[in-house]
Amino acid sequence: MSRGPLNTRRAQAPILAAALIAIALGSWGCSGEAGTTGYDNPVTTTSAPPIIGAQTLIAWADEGKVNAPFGVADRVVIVSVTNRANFTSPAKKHIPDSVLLDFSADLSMTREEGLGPSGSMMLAGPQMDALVKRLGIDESTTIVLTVPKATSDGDLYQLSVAYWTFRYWGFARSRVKILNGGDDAWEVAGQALTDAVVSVPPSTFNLTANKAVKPALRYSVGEMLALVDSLNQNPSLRAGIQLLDVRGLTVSPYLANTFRGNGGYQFVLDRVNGESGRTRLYPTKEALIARLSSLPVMDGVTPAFMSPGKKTVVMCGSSTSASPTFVLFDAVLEVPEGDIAMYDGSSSQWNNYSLAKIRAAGATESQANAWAFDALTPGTSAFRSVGTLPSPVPGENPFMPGYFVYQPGQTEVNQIEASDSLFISATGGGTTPVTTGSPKPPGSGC
Amino acid sequence: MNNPRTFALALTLGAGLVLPAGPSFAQSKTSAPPWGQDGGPKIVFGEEDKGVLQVDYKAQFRMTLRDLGSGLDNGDATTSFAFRRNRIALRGAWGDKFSVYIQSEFAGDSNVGAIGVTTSNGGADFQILDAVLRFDLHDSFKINVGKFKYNLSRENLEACEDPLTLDRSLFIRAPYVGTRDSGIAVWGNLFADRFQYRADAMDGRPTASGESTPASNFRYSFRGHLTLLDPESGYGYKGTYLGEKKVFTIGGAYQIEPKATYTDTISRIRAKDYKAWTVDGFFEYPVNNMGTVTLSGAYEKVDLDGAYQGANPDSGSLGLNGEKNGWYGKAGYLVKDSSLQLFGRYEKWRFASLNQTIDEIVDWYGGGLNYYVWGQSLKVSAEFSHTKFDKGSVKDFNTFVTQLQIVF
Repeated sequence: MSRGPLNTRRAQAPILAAALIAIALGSWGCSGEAGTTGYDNPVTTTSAPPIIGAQTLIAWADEGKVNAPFGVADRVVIVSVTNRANFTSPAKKHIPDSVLLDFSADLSMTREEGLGPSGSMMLAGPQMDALVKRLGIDESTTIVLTVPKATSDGDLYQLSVAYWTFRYWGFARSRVKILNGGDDAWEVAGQALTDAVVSVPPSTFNLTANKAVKPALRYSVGEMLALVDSLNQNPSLRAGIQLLDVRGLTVSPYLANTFRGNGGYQFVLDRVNGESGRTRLYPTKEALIARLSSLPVMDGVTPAFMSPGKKTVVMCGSSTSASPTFVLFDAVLEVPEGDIAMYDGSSSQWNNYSLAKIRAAGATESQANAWAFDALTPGTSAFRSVGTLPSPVPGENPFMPGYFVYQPGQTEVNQIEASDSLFISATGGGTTPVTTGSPKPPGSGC
Repeated sequence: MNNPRTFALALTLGAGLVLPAGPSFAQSKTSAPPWGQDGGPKIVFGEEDKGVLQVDYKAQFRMTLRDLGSGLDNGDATTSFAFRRNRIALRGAWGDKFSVYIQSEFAGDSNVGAIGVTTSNGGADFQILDAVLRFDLHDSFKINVGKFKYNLSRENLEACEDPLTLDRSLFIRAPYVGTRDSGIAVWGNLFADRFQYRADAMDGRPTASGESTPASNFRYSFRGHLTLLDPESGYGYKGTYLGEKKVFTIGGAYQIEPKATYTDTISRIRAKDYKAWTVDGFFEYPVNNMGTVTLSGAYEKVDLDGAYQGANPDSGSLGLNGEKNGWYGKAGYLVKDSSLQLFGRYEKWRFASLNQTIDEIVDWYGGGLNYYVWGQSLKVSAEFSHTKFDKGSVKDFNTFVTQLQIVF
């Protein structure tokens, strides 16, 4: 097949041409970016920390990222977590182009879990899916949560609940931000607020795109019963896990092996511009670690300190005042996913799980012992709670005498997460395996 | 050079590795070794001697000197002796329709990498590099099954015992695989061997649970080349034919693997596809009274759909084998009636993320020589290269390598 060497004279021209081409190519190639195409920087909105300052949001707004077209990788939606009256108030106003998440209507609901319904529980799939669409959030959106200026501590809790809710429903930590100081921080940074309400087109985003809920961020009543029992049976497990009830240093009753903290803002002390009328500021990681080691909680009657490195479960009355602590561990400390969780049932749920209430509704003694928080942990002499659970009040038993929503002998203890997992895995997110409870059980709230 | 004395010593050692092999053995570039051109011992067996089994040994032993990478601040010179390749190959066939090729690898510690020196000894692993069953049903339809080279770049398909420069490109490898993959390929030559087609379905990113990979999909490749003058009709290419063929081949390939990587490995969301394409050209021509000229070049683009931009991107979507595009050009000149071949090589690659630096550009310049004692069966090579980083993610460095190759 070989044709033999080429004649030198005839070959000179093409060889010379090839050499010149090679030299030209080399010269061109040695210069700059020749022959290659560049790459853009990563999405800056996701690489920012979960707690952002006003300057970061101002920059994003200046760059046109707020309410940018769907699918744009850097797009931002500013969500003001408040009620409609505050959002449209001429006195408070809001950040331009922000959208309202009305916490009183959008953020929690009564759901059935364990033996019956509980209030202030995690938002169910259909409601969350509708909320995400209405807020104009798609899979490329970075969500920035804020609150109106001069917001109350109670309202600020709702921002933290919103953060926890988005996280539970599969949104990555990188996609959910909190504007530290809310609209106050924006205003102090010299930016104008507005009372003009912007209309954003709903997205077609489907929660199923998030693949899965994050059940590790939430404790159900069944998981709490199991956790309390395991700590009673093996107290050495407390070396790796800590429970915190933020309702107060002397609150009672409370769950066994649980620290009691000094309110929802024990570690959230600063305010925007140092002014008492302005919104609270989440601390830096370093400041938080210092506060955890200097501001005690109570372990029974003994002062103790929270560890920044332990797996932590927080609770309160109905999962609102505990939510800032969830934010502290998840967004400020950025602990590994699942090392911070919130028990949203909290005391408003466990106070109903007394032997008396469960027996009054028709359960046998052994069935009640399996569910009651004032019962002994099997195989121990330790009660699941410390203090006396409230007595039954006629007409307020959530399990309704003679009728349980679920059967007292059942083994299913985690219906909400099972239902949510089913929802988010369903094609189109259209299945609705969730039922809302009725009547609403009594609860103290936080 | 931070340590000129070390560098000078290494140069001397390198020269010592190269020079003794020369004049006393050399006859011409095509001189066959005493054991024959076709490699190691051969066993013939079966009816009508249809069965054949041959054992080959292949080694490339090299000394590497880099002017940084060691010492307190990694600013001192790095020296290394290691087998780059150290292989035993079994070639078997039954008749002319069926053959097998099995090759083991036991290379030395590969601690001096393309852009850095490992922080600890990586050690040497034994592996079965190739294990392929070949069915040559027709020149236009052949099937390979097993573990073998996938069909993307010409550079990767060039036999590493027949390179033009010291080695193949350091930057051209596809993501999530090595130089080989497991699967099935069909290929053949058409139009009097002027056109060659290849298509394969391979494992691609190694199968793993959803904890680390978004899906388990095959990786598909399609490659074709048009070869003028003397054909290149085999599955493997060569970097140089030492003037024994006149070749002008242009080719191109496309490769795809759906849902190959997460952009957020923690949340395990936003799966991205892998796609790559390449075009390449090769020209070699012996010229009377001049010697043999070789020119070769390629462009390759590896696309992971911006996975590097994610909040927690998969490490495999970053770095040398992650999202990138670039090209190389190489040229060689085999001196007429000589065993000496001079070569040069230039590469420019643009990486989406390299050493935590976005859009890093790497320029690589190299030049050196091959001295063919007994053709490719016994060869010594030396190459000096300079690696330059546009954004300074790594300090620029120089590397000098001498290598002894034997195929027995």
